[in-house]
Amino acid sequence: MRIDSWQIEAFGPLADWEETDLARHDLFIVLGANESGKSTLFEFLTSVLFGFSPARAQDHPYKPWSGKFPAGALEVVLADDRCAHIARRLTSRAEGRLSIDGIEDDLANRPVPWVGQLSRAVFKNVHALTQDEAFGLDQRAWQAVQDRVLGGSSYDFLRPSLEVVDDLESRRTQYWRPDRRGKPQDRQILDRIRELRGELAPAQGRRTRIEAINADLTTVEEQLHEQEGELHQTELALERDAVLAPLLRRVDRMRDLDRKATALVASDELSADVTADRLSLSVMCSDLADEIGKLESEVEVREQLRKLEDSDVRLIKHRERIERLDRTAARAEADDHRVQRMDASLQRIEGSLQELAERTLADGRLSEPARQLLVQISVVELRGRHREWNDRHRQAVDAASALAEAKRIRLQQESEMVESESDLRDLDERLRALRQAQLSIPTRPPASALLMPALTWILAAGTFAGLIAVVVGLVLGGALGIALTVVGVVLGLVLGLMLALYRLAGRRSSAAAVPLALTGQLQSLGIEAGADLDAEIERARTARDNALRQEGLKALHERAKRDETDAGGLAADLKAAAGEARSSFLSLVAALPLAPIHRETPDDTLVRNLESMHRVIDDGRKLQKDRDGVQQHLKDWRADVETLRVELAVELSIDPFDAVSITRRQLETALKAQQEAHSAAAEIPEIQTTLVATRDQLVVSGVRLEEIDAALAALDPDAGDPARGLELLERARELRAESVRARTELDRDSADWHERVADAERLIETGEVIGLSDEERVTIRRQRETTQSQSQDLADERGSLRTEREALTEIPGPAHIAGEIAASEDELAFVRREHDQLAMVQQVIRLAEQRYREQYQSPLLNSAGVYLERFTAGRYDLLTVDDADPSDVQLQVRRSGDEFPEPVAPPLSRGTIQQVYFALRLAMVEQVEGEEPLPLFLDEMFVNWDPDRTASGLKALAHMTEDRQVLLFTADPAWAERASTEVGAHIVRTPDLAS
Amino acid sequence: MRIIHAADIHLDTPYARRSDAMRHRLQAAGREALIRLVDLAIGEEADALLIVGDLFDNEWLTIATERVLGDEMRRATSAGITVVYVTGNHDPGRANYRAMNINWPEQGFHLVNSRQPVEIPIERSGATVGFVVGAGHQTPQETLNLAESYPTAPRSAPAVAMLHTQVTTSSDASNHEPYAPSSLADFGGKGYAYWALGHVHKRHVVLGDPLAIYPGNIQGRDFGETGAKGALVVDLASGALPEARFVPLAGVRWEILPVGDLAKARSIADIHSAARTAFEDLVTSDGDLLADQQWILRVSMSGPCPLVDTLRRDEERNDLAEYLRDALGVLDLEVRDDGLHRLLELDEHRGQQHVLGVALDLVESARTDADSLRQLEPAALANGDAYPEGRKRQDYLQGLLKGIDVAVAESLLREERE
Repeated sequence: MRIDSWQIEAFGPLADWEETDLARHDLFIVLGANESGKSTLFEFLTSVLFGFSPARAQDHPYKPWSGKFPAGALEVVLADDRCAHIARRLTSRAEGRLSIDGIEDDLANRPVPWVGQLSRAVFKNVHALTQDEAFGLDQRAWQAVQDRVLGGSSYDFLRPSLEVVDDLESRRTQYWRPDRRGKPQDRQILDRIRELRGELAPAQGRRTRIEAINADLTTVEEQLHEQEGELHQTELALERDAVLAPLLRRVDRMRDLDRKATALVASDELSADVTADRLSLSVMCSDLADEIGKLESEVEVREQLRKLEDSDVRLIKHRERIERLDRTAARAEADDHRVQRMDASLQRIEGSLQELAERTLADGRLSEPARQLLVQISVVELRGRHREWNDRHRQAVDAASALAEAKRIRLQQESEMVESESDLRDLDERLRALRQAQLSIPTRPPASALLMPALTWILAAGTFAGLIAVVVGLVLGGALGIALTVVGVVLGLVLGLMLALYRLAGRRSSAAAVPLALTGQLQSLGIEAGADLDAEIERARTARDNALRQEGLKALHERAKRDETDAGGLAADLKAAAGEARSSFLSLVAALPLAPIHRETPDDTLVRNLESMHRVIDDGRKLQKDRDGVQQHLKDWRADVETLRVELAVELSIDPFDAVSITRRQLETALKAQQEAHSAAAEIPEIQTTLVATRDQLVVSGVRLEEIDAALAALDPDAGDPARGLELLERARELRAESVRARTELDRDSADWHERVADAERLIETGEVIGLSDEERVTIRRQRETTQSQSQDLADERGSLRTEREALTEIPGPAHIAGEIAASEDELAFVRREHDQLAMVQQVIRLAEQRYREQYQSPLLNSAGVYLERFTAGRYDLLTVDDADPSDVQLQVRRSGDEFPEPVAPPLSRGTIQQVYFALRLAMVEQVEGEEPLPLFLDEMFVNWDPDRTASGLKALAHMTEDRQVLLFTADPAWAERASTEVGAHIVRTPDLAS
Repeated sequence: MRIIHAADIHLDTPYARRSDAMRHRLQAAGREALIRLVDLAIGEEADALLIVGDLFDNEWLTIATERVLGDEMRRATSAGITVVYVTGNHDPGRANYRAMNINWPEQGFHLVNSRQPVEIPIERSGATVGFVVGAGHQTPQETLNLAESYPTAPRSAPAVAMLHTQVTTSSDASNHEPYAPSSLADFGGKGYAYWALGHVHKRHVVLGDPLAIYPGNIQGRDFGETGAKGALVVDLASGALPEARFVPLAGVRWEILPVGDLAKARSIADIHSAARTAFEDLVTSDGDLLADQQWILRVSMSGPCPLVDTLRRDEERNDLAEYLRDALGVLDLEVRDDGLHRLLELDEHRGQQHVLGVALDLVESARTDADSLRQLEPAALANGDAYPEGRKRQDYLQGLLKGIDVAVAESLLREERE
């Protein structure tokens, strides 16, 4: 198979790299700097041929830096010249397509078919050679390499077989050894089992002893039980003597007391303290009688309180009215004061009216009709009409003023107007002619134009004079010279000025000449020759201006006349309007007897007075109305008081307010009396109920007293005397009380004395003796002490047996030891099995190593010998092995012409050893691949070899290319060029160098 | 007649190599299972409760167990249930055996501790509903075939034979001592409707007609006794085949939890997840669980795992066991490496021209070819004496082949550096 082209879309750092037309090159060099992607290219080619590993994009070590999915394609030419196109892509799953002869096949992630059984790992190991593999080979490293290469572990992913076997041996012997060396786990476990078994017998002995202890304990328990029984009997007898006998005696005494009491009084149904009862009943009857008397008097008192006086009845009857009058008294008094204030106000109002009437009305008096009229006048209307009149009047006055002004202006203008002698047109013509004539006269320069020449003359003269003065001054020198200089300058300036003036006058004079051509024209205008034209022009201008002014005055005059006419009309209209407004206003007050002056000139004062009078009258009426209302309320209240006085039929104060107050107090007194009567009436039933109950109680107590006396008398059957009966009763009760005390003591001393007494009586019935004699007591006590001592001894013995049994139980028993033994035996079986399995692994590897050598080593060496001969240019021609010692197989090489080979080891040179190594590697390539020879990848091969060796190496490569395509990776451009030159290698540059 | 058939209760098993706390818990679990057994008998209204040997594990008896035994047996007999207990090799009927001194109920309880079979009628409401015939071990190592001495069964009512025996042809027989050996032929021809057996701890049917069953023990004691443990409810009617129904009684379940899917495990969390998944699958698929079931698990890890180097260290496995125990909420847990190995692609190397390829081929051949297998036999086997030449040796070697391809590959392949 030969690579023809590759298209790397994205793979690690490589992206969009395409190379074509490579199949025709047997040997091409991939030139690129370190880390430029040469190894990546190899991985890419491997992935295309064998599929992606791992087959997941996120796990792949060559994830594209661009973030895309790894993808690319390869075109190859197979040995039978067929072209194949292989495309791969790794997304969420690996995709692959193979196209041969137009037939497409889905590869998925499978290797291409022509790699056969060759695995990716083997391909990468065998078809990729690096300089590093052999560059640093020293004796030890070469030995390791030799072992690997000669053995079946000639791949970097496999450990040397011997090394593995040694490791397994080391591990295996930790588990078990057939000899007695060391202390493998097996022996340790056996020792432990032996110890445990040795402990079994003692454990059995302990178990037996535990059983014996159990039997002894049973016996001791039984003896103790028997002892306890005996002890119980002695204790029982003593207890009977100590407890039961005295108990029986006490019970007998108690029963005797009861019998005696019954003999005296058979049945005691009376209370415990009869005497006290009799006394208390007597006292009670007496108290009840007294109580009854008190209750009866209370009833009588309350009957009296229930009655009320007639006067109080009447007051109570009129309670509501009295209270109402009392509530309204304060208000009535206030109303009274208010009426007085109102009357005063009315008087003041009347006074104001009168004053206003004097100022406003004709007779100075406000009659009732006039009052009525004033009230009827609408103040708003009055004010409005007066305002109207005022406005009209003012306008008329203003119009009259305007008329007068217009007239004045007219008159003034008329006074200013003067009849003009000439027409304005004529004057304009004259003036124009005069100017024209002036223009004809040579131009006289203006005064300003003469200024510069004047100054020039002044300066020139001054300068001349100054120079002379300076010269003289210099000649003379000193102060005199300076003085002369100054005088000279001044004289010069004066002289210049005079000359300038002279020149000016001359110019002006010469400018005043009038040409003869214009003299006639001027004469037509009435100007004689030689007249001052300028003056004439001035006169003409003035005349024209006057004429113009007059014209203006005429226009003004006309307009003033029109204005005066207009103002006259307006004034007349306004005057008429003012008159009408006045009449309208006066019509409102026509009926009033106004003073003449007001009628003639009704001004603001009139209006204000009328308004005031209207308002005052109106206020007065309202006040009167209020006053009348209050007065009526007061009057009604007083009438009500008077009515009350009559109905109560009592003498009251004349002042109604005092009368109401007194009556109020009397009413309160009557109400109090009424309340007391009600309370008394309410208490009477209750008191009467109490009275009845008390009477009943008195009856009951009396009956009870009689019963007690009868019962006591019955106790004395002879005399029937209650006193005697009482004595007998008391005596019987004393006896019973004593019996009760005896019972109480028994209960306190022995709660179960009833049962004990019953038991004792049963025992007595059966013939048992409860009490003991003194001798018997002593004997039994001694017997008890003996029994207690024996029991204590037995208890001690029981305690020690239990202690011993607990101690023995703490130690693991036979079952526990048997369990330990069983567990250890399980562990032993596990350890031995582990050993056996490791031993089998060892055996498998040894056998595999041997089989490998038998099957593959010889062809490998032959093929390697051929390569070696090529590499060494025939200096060495044979590779073989010395396997006399299977544990130390040595590779040997034969120099051409020698009879015997020598070990591949020093003193052979390192370079020769390297050549042997590469020869072996190349032989392996042939050995592992199938029918389709795959490309070989060499990384920096021969770069560090000396020139001769390099040359021979390159020649060997050239031979290899007869069978397969070879790719050389290097970062050395010089070496690449050399290879290209010597063996015709094609150079392919990695993208960074190409760009 | 309805009977409850239980055996091999092994009370007060010493549980060697367990901590004190765990030992106490497991011994209590045995007593609790016994209490559930009596609850079952009462709840099922059984006529008889048959305990077929090895009620005790050894001569050592705790006070707690002695008290529970007495109370429970009295509870059963008070409920009208006849209790028949025959002795086994762990609790033989020696006179000075402490178990013989227990205060058993006076009425309704039968202890059979002699080799001579004893016939016990089972009554209900004054009528005989069946018979139970049983014989017991007198010594710890009975060698007699006690089944041979069983009489012909009574015919008036269904009869059950009780025997603590090693049926030599039963499964799991190799794991038990051949005490009181018997054979299937001993069970037929005597007219017993049902043979209630004891001694083998794995529940299984030995014979279909007459029905002979080992019920297994009622509480597992180690990882050799995994799965549901309990007793059988057996209904017998004249003229009909007995019907036996299993009822779980063990509060503590021993189980081996295979966890093999660890190829992508990168952390303890991944292992926990795999173990939890396996445990949940186990729990959900098992229909014989008690409401308050407790577990003792052995997490058996095998297969490729990136953490293999870590997990091969004892202290790491112990730490992992402690973590998983708390995470899964089980009573106890151990972690075993039962074949963990590195991530390997064995198929890539098969048939290749290197020593590993050749080795894998050799192993493959040995699986099917005896000669190839013989070539792989090591020069010295630690278990050589246990497996002498012949079939046994071959079987043993064949057993060693399991996983050996992985072991060979692991040994020869260099570790990949990431």
